[in-house]
Amino acid sequence: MLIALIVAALVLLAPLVARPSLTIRRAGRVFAFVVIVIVPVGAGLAGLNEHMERSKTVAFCTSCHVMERYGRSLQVDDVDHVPAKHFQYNRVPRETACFACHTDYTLYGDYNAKLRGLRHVWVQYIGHIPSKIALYTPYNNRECLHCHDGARSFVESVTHRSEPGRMDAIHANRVSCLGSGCHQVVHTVDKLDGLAMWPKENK
Amino acid sequence: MITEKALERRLRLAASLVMAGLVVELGSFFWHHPTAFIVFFVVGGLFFAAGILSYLLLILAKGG
Repeated sequence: MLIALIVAALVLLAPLVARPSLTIRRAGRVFAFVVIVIVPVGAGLAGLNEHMERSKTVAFCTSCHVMERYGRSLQVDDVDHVPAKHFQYNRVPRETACFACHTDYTLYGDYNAKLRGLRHVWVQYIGHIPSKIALYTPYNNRECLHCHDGARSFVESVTHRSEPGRMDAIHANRVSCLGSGCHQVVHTVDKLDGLAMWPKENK
Repeated sequence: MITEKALERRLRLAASLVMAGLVVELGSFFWHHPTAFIVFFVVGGLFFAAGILSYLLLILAKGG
């Protein structure tokens, strides 16, 4: 659909490039305004939206060499690995698994995530890729609670209710889901080679 | 006062720049890599902006 729109815009622009004198008449001037301003702006916004959607896919995130092992870590055959469990048990959409957990669930979270992505592209080509990749800030419980909050498995968990005020502390991000020793096994990319994978890899 | 010849030349330039932006945008959809997004956003965006801006300036110069 979008490609058809772009091709149509190109076809509509061609007469203007070939014969700009078309704009002598009023109808020609209106036509020129539509095909030079309105249609390209529409095609540009639609293109931006399409690229934003594409940039949410696992294939996109792992297309840079440095991210390949992070993508592979989604296949670790061990339910203690939080990202692998989420991916394999469809707790996040498989197609957009990276984005599901690494966006900020705030008003402009998607755009903030994409701005960070632009910075990553900059680092990939211009900057220096660090030997150990880390989040900019500690992982916020908000991103976990976006899905888990209110779920029976979360609300009735014995550990989550083990002491008074624990649930409040989790909600307030004072006790980290990942960093408090509870769900701490995430992308162990430096240990992947010795781990079993699901589905099993052909060697 | 802008001449008819200059008007046509600038209009052709504006339309050509927008066309170039559209071609860049079209090409970016057949390249599945993060760089495609940058090319679309930076290169395509610059062509779009230059084309639309030069057209709008032309309208202003011509007096509507």
